[in-house]
Amino acid sequence: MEKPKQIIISFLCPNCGAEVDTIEGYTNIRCKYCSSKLLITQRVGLPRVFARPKLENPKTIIKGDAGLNTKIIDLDLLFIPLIKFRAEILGWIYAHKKGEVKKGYYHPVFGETEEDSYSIGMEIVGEKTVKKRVRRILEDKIDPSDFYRFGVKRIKIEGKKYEPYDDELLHQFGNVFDLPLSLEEYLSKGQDILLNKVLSHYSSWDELKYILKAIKKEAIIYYYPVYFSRLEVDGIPYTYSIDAVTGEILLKEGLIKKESKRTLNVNSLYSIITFSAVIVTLIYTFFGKVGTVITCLAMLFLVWELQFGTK
Amino acid sequence: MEQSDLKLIPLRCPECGGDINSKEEDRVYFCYVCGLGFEIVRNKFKKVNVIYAKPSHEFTGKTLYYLPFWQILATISIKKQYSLDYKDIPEELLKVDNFSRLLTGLFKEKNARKKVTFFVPAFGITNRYQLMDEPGFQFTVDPPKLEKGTTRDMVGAEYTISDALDLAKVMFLSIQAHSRIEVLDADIDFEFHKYRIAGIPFYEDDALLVDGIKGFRIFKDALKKWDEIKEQLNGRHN
Repeated sequence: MEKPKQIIISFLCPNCGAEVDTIEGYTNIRCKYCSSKLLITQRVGLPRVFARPKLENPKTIIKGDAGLNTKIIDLDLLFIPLIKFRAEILGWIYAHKKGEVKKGYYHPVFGETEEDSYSIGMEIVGEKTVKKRVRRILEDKIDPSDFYRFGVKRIKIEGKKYEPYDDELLHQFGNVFDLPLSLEEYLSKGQDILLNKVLSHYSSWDELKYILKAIKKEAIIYYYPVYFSRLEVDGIPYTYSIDAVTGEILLKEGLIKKESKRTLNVNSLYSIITFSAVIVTLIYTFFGKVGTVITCLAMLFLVWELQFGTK
Repeated sequence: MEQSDLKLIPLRCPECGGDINSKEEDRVYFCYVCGLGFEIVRNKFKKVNVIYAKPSHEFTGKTLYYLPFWQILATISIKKQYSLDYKDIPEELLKVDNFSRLLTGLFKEKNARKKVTFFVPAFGITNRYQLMDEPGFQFTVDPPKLEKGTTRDMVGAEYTISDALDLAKVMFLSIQAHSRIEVLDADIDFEFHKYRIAGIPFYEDDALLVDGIKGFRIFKDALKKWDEIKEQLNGRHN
């Protein structure tokens, strides 16, 4: 697949004739020679930006977390594209929830006898009707790379500084993940996500009618740097992913060493006890009380280790 | 997309050569000098009719800020007939005789076709906007008489006419769906005839913007980037 390239379009300034470079996704620019305010008449693609990796030594973070005897097999910096989709959802929703009939509700009445003084009542609990106008600006993040399972979902794109996408510069830092689908497909996916977000509140309701539309659809692609590393700790392979801006460990995934407990069967235990008795007798005969005590303690430790220790 | 589809044009009024006010989100542009409005159609500025409404006399003397509304004339017809009584009409609409008559006529008369003038806000809004009585709805139910006033600087319009038509349909359906849910399934035909931008004057009143014609109110923080816009507009006034 062709690597995503920054779309820079060069125009001639209609005012002074100088070359003006524009970045995809933006419409308002100013000529740097004559300061004319200019407008691109059609948006090109989506705005793309990237965050600069700030983490200088990711190995230190990995070793600090996994231990100093960690063997790092590989460590790569990858820019992950995250699409932030935003749209205004407008429409009208009618939803109805039937509620549940609560039986056996006793309430006092004025009866002639004591038995007549209470009657069994019923009440409907949790019945709700919602009729409302919807007009909400919503946004969500789409991860086009299927990297969520590597902890990418934990990345917070908000509150970071981004720069206009520069393909050459990004490739100096590391690799850039390609977008597998077309931008139109992501826009459609984003729209479905936001509409479902509005409707999800009523998914379990008994009746739902609505008209919903998404207008003013916008999206920005954020290329976010993440370190991916494969490593070994005591012979066990691990995968780490680290936020290259904040240094936060996004995910550590490894094969867990199964610790099984030793257990002795009854015959082995009898053999050990018999063997110990012989040894203790011999030790007592030749070395006296002190030697016997030391030997007993050593043997008790051996039995405990065999019974409860790890393999 | 072919690069040849794109064109770089100066943000200058094709009629008078004056500066055009623009934010990145704008879709309709207004000239600072002559007040004309433009949309981009086939890589060119296409003129949009704009009226700058004259404020009522009691509001004169205040600093006015013009907010753009799409004013759309439409004919509405309903293919399937519904019975509709006055009791079905929401109370706030009953207060406005013309509109409640229009609604009952539309639903009761056979093959009824009614003209409605929609006012759809074209300025950028925040989520705060849905928490209040929408001034577009209020103007639609009880349309103001717009007299041509002086051309003023106007906040850029972020909604295209296509967005505004969607908004108008939803606005109409929501008026009725409040009392009759079947309307959401109804086969309603909207025929949009003509449209223009109506610049409605507003003045500040603490945390609110009050319209200078009918006195409807909007929270200032229901407008997107109001402080920045205000600063920009004030800068040009001074």
